[in-house]
Amino acid sequence: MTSSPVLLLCWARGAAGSDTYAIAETRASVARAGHGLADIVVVRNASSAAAALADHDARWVGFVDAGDELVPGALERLWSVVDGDPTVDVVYSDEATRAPDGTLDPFYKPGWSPDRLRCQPYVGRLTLMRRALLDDVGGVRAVGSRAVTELDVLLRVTERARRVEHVPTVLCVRATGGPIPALAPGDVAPACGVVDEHLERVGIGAESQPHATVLGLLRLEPRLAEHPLVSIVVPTGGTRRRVRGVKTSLVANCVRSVLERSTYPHIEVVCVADPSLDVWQRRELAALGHRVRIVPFDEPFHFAHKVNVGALAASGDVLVLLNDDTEVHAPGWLEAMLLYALDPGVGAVGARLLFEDDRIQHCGVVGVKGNPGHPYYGLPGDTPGHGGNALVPGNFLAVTAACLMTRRECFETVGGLSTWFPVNYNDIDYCLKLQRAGLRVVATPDATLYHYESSSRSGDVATDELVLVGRRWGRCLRDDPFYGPNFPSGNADFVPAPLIA
Amino acid sequence: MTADPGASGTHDDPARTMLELRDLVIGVQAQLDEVHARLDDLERRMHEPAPPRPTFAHRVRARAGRFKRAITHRAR
Repeated sequence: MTSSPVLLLCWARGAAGSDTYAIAETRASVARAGHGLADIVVVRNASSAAAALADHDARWVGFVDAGDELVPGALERLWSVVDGDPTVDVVYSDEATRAPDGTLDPFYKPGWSPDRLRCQPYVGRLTLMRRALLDDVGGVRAVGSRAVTELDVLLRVTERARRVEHVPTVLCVRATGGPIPALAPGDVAPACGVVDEHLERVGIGAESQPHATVLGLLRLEPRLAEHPLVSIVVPTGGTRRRVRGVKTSLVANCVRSVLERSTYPHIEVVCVADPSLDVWQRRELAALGHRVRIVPFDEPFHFAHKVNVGALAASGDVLVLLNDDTEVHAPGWLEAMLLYALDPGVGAVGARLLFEDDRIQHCGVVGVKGNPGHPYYGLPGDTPGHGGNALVPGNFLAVTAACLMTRRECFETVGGLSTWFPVNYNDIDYCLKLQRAGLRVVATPDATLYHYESSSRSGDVATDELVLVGRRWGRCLRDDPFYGPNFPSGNADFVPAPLIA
Repeated sequence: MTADPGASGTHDDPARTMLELRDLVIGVQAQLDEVHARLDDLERRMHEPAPPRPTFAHRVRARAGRFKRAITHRAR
């Protein structure tokens, strides 16, 4: 038995004796990092980890790899978070990997993002879990390699954790790893099994599969148990513009793409139309079938009002707010969004939106220096993002209402889109109202649409709307937990501050 | 923002008015939170010890530094 409050289980790399130097290095760094706060025990597999746990009475448990270096004071920093707050059950910090030239490549993580963890083991080092909770959920199980064992432990612990905290400081330099945290190719299949068990426990209708393009990441394939009516609310003024060289009615193009390309069976489309929607476009919409309804809107232009009118006229339990200047790209978009929207802990789900030429228009919204910003705006569609955050579903401060799925009960509880924001920021405000109510916001790249941005209205931002969003949500936009303080450039592209070795 | 629900609701639809009133309540609460946070921040800053005033020696050194940078710049 030990008296140290933290136990670090150090995964040995290979055969006994082959990594003595690496283990000694990690031991030395733990001694510098903790000043007696932690004991370190070398383990080779899940059963030896379980045995080491049984032999110690530490109150907090973490994992490290042989060769990982903790920065001086790392454990004290984490301890200061968990010691002062009895509701924190898990705490994790940022990490870095050492490049061959000796420079450090930092990975600055988002605040707690359960929807990302299911597809990418982003939490990594240094993480501490409350021992009592780990024991409650069954301890360390032998489910595969060390990475899969850790993922399994983390999923089971965080399912029941009261609070998961993130310390936005690099506290560990990892011995191995690349710019995108991922599983080893051989770990993907057992990790899918572990994630599937987790999905069953938390009641999410999906199955885990290997990521289509990036080896070592996962994606969730929807397996929905229920198929509620989804009402797609499309506010429109009947704008026409050239799309791929052809003059097109945006609303007809949008609704046609929804009806023809969506594989989800239970849809209605509610077009909220200004009087400016001409008779030819009305006929075109009527010809698309009985699932399309036109709701008249005879007031001066007001995006939030129009959406609220459409939502109230809709009959579905799930709403999709969809701009008329969008076009469905991938057939399974509604299922990919529903998988998250039906989770009672989620309030809003956003899609990945691309410009006509496949550059990124939207993959989530972050708060940058007090203003909302679109990460990777205008960058190529295959941009992986910082730590791969453009490749996998993740939690964000907000998502755009150009394509936003939400349950009706959430929409009504928080008062719909705020009519104090006639044109801009009503979506940011909506998502922040949901977060205030304790609900998560998810952006998923598995739902992809084209967005011919600002075709239907001016792209200008009214100053009074910017002032009001700052008055309501200034703190949230300045201290966005999903963006963090480590990206000093003002352009929302997750450009990290350099890290001095 | 003026807390006047009538300013945003010029219609007789009770469902729309209900949405607007709920939004107003949350919006006002959020603004109040912002005000409290600013007050806390100001109070914290007021109780922080003021930074020491630069002494005569500090000012002379700063001026010498500026002079040195200026002549180095000119020499280039």
